Amino acid sequence: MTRCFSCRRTDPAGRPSLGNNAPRKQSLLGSSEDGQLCILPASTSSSVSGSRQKASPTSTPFITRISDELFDEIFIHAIKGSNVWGDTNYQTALALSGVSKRFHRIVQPLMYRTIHIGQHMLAPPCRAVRQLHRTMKFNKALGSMVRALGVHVDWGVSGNISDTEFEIGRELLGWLPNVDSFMIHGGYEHLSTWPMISNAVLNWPRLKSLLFSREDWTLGMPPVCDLILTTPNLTTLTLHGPGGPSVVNLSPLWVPPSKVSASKLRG
Amino acid sequence: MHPSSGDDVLTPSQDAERSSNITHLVVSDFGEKPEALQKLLKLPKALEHFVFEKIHACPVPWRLDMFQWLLADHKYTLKSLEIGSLTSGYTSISLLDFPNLETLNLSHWAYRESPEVSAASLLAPRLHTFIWDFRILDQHSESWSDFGNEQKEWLLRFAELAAEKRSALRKIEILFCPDEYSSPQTREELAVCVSPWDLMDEAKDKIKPLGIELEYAGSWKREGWLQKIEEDGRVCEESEKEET
Repeated sequence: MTRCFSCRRTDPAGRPSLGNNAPRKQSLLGSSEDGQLCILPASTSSSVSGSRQKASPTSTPFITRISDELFDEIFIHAIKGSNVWGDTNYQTALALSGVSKRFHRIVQPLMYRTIHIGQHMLAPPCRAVRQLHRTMKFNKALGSMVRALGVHVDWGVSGNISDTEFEIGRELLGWLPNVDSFMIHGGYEHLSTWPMISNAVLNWPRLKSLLFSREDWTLGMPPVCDLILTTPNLTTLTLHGPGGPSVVNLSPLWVPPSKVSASKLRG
Repeated sequence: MHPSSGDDVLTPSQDAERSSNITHLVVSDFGEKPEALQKLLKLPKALEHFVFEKIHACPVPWRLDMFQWLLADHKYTLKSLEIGSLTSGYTSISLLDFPNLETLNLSHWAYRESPEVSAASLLAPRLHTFIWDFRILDQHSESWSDFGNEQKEWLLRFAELAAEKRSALRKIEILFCPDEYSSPQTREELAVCVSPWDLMDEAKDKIKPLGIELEYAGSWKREGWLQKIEEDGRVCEESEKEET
């Protein structure tokens, strides 16, 4: 005979009774004497006995007693993406964020730990970058959450990108003081690309990992070497496609600018 | 703006040399001259991991033996070294002077020395892992025939010599991901085929008693492959029927 887990009554046909007239009690799960999962008898669930008391609806649920710091650690792993960049799994993050106000408060900053906008353009700024810029402009605290950042600069199919097109990118990078890993792809030929990178890197004291990858053959070695010397905590450097056919013949092999005499510069 | 001096090779200042804390340097598709890499390598104080991945397009003839002098400044600190396919022939390299080198990854497309020369030059005092990389990682992959009996025999002999020399070598890893186009396409081809993984299984069993593990990704089952060929055949027959 089938019993209703909610009210423990059955109808004449043996189906669980879902009648509205019956007083409804909440069933509680617990362990039986032989250690099996079972529905606790009503009398037991209201009795005072050790762990079963914890299951009482009137006591504080266990999940609410977990500290924010512990949730933080759990959620960091839960929302980690599966690709090599460790991008955020935003679907999971959003699902967690929708559970409660408390979860939202914990998850939201974690969604900013890794920002990979490689699919979009930092300069000229695409819509997603403009939206990110707007969000951070009104909540600068989010910028301090960013640890890993990947960006993409258009490599100039449409010609040189003007300096004003870099304005949003420059501002955005300036709001992220805790970046420790930075990747940039494409677009080194624009006059404003390297100044934007250099200014940002100077404000990232925790920077440990730098990755430069080229779109066209425009990734020259001199500015890369300059950056190495201005980032004392850098431990990992990755270069995809430095130099290249257009650079080899013209390439100034590196020398620190401050060490070059005027006569040498004049040639 | 960076100063240009034509073909002159300018050197970093004494202050800049060995001033960086970089321990991991990964370079791929390097389009500069070896001298440029040399200057770059002068910046880290103590490089521990160096990767020089394959070159796609570069007029500079890169050879393996160049890395002997390019890495000379870091021979006491280097723990892992990876060199991908290069642009100019095959040469040897000696790593005996790298006392802390533990892992070596060499591309099959950059290195073709005999097992005797390899055992005499690659087995640095602390080298415990040798990775033999057959991957091409381009628009096409390596083919099944790239690992055959010749490569199996090379592996066996190299492991024997490593054991004879009482070297630190404990693991050989093969990176091999061939495309399916070069696999047996018919029952007849399958019947006479000895798969690369059959050969690797054989080599693995033979070198295990020497105290050297052989690792490789993927496994191959003849029955599974036969099933695949039959399924492909059925699909072809059905599409032919539909067309007629």
